[in-house]
Amino acid sequence: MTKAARHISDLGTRLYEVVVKIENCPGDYSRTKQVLLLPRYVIANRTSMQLRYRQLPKTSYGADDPGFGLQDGQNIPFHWPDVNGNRKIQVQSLFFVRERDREVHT
Amino acid sequence: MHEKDQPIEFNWSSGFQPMGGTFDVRLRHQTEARSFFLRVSIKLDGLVRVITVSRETEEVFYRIRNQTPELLTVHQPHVRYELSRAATSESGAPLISSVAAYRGEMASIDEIPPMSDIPFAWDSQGQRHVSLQLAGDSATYRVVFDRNVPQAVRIPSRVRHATLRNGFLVNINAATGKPTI
Repeated sequence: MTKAARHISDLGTRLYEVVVKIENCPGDYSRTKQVLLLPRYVIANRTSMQLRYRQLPKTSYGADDPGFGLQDGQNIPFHWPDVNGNRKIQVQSLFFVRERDREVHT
Repeated sequence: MHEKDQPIEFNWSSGFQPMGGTFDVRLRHQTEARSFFLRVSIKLDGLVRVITVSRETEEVFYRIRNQTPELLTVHQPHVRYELSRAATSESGAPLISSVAAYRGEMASIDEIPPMSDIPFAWDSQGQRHVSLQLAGDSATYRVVFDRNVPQAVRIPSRVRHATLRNGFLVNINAATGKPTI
């Protein structure tokens, strides 16, 4: 059985979204149920650069929010910092550009 | 670090919902007319939605090509509505009429030199059209991107509309100045 669950942090406005998977253990432990809690979202950086990500700010006051850093190759669970905010994600990167980087154009 | 390497800081991408699919997001340079594209792929891995962000290594999904000898300006509407609610006096007469104003932001403008093309991605979800204008030409070409089959180009007076299928090129014809697909 799988189920999605939400938990609003008592300490603030964070929203934790997890999925719950309940299944019987294999083999000799088949009468034992295993409960798996998994993050609903995982964000993975495959850019070869340092990535930043954040929840889309509700107002321009949040425009300076630096978000969270994510190193190249790293995967981490994503949860919504603001339960009342936009359910959208923004990304940004700071990197060093070379002349051969064709993606950058003028 | 390479001698020519320079730190480049870009603005945040537009916000996207982690719902699934693959798309490009655009990071615009904070002060210069430069952009960088990242590819976002959202897939289910068992029960978990994995949001993979990578550098696009192939062509972005859209390119806009300028085949004319003129500078082509691409304006992606990035409008912000500022609504003021109508207020009424005790007699019910309106004191302030409802105002809907929008402003385009400079960050949503690209310029394509003659006989060249640029990669393109949306700055803002929900706005699925661009306006194209050639230097020295007062006509504006409004191009709508759609997953449907392209529709015929309509030319109501000076405003010309075209609907494009996902991934199509927009070519501005040098002879006629019309967008073709």
